[in-house]
Amino acid sequence: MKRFRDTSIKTKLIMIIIIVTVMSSIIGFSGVLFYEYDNMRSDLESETGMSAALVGEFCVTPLSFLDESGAEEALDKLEIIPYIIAAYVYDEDGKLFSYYHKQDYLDISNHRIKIDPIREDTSYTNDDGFNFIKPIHYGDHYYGSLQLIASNDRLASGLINYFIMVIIVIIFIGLISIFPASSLQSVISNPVLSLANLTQRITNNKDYSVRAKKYANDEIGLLYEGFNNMLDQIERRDRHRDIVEMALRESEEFHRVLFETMIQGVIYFSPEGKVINANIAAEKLFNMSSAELKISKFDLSYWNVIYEDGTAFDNEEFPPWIAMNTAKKVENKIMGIFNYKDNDHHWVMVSAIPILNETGTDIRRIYTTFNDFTTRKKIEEEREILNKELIDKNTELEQIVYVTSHDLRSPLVNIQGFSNEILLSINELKSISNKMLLNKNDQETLSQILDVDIPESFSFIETSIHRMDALLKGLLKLSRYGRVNLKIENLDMNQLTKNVIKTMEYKIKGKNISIRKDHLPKCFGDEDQIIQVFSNIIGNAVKYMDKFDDGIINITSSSSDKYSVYHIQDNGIGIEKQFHDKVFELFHRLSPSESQGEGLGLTIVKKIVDRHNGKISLSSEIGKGSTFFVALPKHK
Amino acid sequence: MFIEKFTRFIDWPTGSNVTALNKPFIIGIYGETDIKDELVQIYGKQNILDKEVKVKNLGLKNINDCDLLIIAENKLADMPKITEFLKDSKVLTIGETADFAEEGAMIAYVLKDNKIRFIINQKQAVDCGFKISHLLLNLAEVINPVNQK
Repeated sequence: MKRFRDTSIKTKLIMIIIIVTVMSSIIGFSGVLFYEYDNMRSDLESETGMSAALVGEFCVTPLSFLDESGAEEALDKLEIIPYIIAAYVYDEDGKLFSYYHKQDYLDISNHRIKIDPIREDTSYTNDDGFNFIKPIHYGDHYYGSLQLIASNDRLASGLINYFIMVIIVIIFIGLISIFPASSLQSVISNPVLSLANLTQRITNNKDYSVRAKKYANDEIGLLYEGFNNMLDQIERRDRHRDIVEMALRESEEFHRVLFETMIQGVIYFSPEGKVINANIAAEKLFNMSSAELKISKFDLSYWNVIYEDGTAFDNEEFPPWIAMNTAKKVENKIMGIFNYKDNDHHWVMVSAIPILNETGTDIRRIYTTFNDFTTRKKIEEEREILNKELIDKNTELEQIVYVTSHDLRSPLVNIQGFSNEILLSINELKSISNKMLLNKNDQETLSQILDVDIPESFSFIETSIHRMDALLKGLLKLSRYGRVNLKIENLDMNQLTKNVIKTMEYKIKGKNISIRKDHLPKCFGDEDQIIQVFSNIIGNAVKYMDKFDDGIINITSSSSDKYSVYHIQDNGIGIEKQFHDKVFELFHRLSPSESQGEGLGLTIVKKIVDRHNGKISLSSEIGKGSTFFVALPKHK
Repeated sequence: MFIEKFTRFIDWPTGSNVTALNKPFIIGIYGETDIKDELVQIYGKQNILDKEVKVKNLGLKNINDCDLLIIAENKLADMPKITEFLKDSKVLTIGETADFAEEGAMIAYVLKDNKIRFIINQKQAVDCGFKISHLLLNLAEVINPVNQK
């Protein structure tokens, strides 16, 4: 069978056609043979039946008159029928009455001495041959039966002759069919063979641009079409593969370079915890080559790994091991890894991402990154120290401001008190001098001193005292706003600004300024301090308003994620751009001559806003007005 | 008993009692014979040609008063007379010895070793209008053969 499979399709087709032809001939002739045999058999049956009927009649009277010789005489007539080899006559009781044997054939056997009486035609075939038993009737009477045995030889020889003829005919048909088979097979084999040649060519030359030329529109035609389609697809796929390969190469190169040069350390772990690959940054971090890492057991204690508080890092907490057990991403675990080369701990943030296989059931590898932030950590630490120092200094400064302003006030009070005393004494001196008789010149000189010079000096002294007092009060206020604990609450800014405006109603009406106010969002802050912020800013707007009847102050708002921003806009004198930052500085006054105040208002505003983690800025143009933006936190 | 068997192979002439309905089949016996008792005994129970059987002893005067006549061995000498009497009647004549056939009995039989052998005078039978089956003729010894139509 294997040999048949390997023979050429040509031979196969020829063989198949011949086999089919021969087999159908065999089946056809078998049918005919069967039919013929059936005919021969029924001929034999009918001929035997006829002989039985004839001979049977001649046995009527011998049976009737028990004349065996008469029966024998009748049976002897069978001599002329060559295929009847034996005959037996039974009487009406089934007892053997007479018999006949052809020479060299059967002898009487025991079982034929008596049979069951047979009243209908009966036939069967046994080793002796074809048996036909006919009952013998005459008139209404039953006399017995006649059994004839026809030799099988007649059927057999007929069959054998026929069979030999059939075999000869079939062989002849088989031989004849070779010619049409070998010419017809080419209809199928030629296209297949040419396709096979084409595939061979494609295999040898790797040329997918050739195409098979279709012969017909049958299944082989379809095969050709399919083959050509396949070639199209292969060609397309080839081109696509080239593109993809190129992209893949580029991507690989990109990632390889990235992997090798990136600052982050990267290690791929197998699901068993073995290092699959490590980049240069990781090699440096662990002070081991990639090859060493691959064979290491990756025991953290080797690198003396610690938490931020300095205690030993729990091996179980190592992100890739967690990712391995949970199949979940672990991010930014901080650990200190001792580097033997630098002789110091390197601080890293470690993240691990489990990468699953295609089915998403098993972990294929664990991608682990080590983000070295040692430098940043050091800077942060330094900054923290500086910050602390700054805070200490600030506190100290505030303390100084407080103490100074507080302590300076008592000598000032003394100065004020004693200068009053001096004034009283001078008045007393004046009344005495009036009573004194002095020449006119002296009188005038004294009068000049007592009535003009001294009061003038005192007026300067008093002004200075008041001014100094105001400054000290301002400084105390400033230091208090920086010192007192904040009581943060959610503030209704509509109500708050309304109250602020009310306290300065007199001044606003005096300058006939119109105030417009939108609905304002809430924010978080200390009520007293925020009131201070708004009264200072609005107060400035009123104070520096140079227009009468046309003055406008707009209070609007905007909002961001974190802040509610309040815009306080006026159309007053405006501020020059160079002073925009300076307005928030201590004791800065833009026009000392034109307005009153100690120059602390916006400094206090900035301090309060800063303490609230808010922001303040301004935009302004000379002659057109200013807008202050106060951003205060939306959330606690 | 073979008497009945003969009747199976013989057609009685038309118009005889045998062809008429509802008439018994009458066996007549002329002379002394041993078989009478046997005949009476057997055919008292068994019909012949579907007819009831009667067995009678007949004399010469009424010798035609039957359908089948058995002539005893000792009456061989009367055969010419009997033949004469029965010339126009439709009676089958059976003689008890072989010689009867020559003397004009239609059938003569001989029993030997309990086997029957018989002689048929075909001409006699045919002349009287009887038709004898060739099967019976085939087994018998036939004298005066004629062509039956």
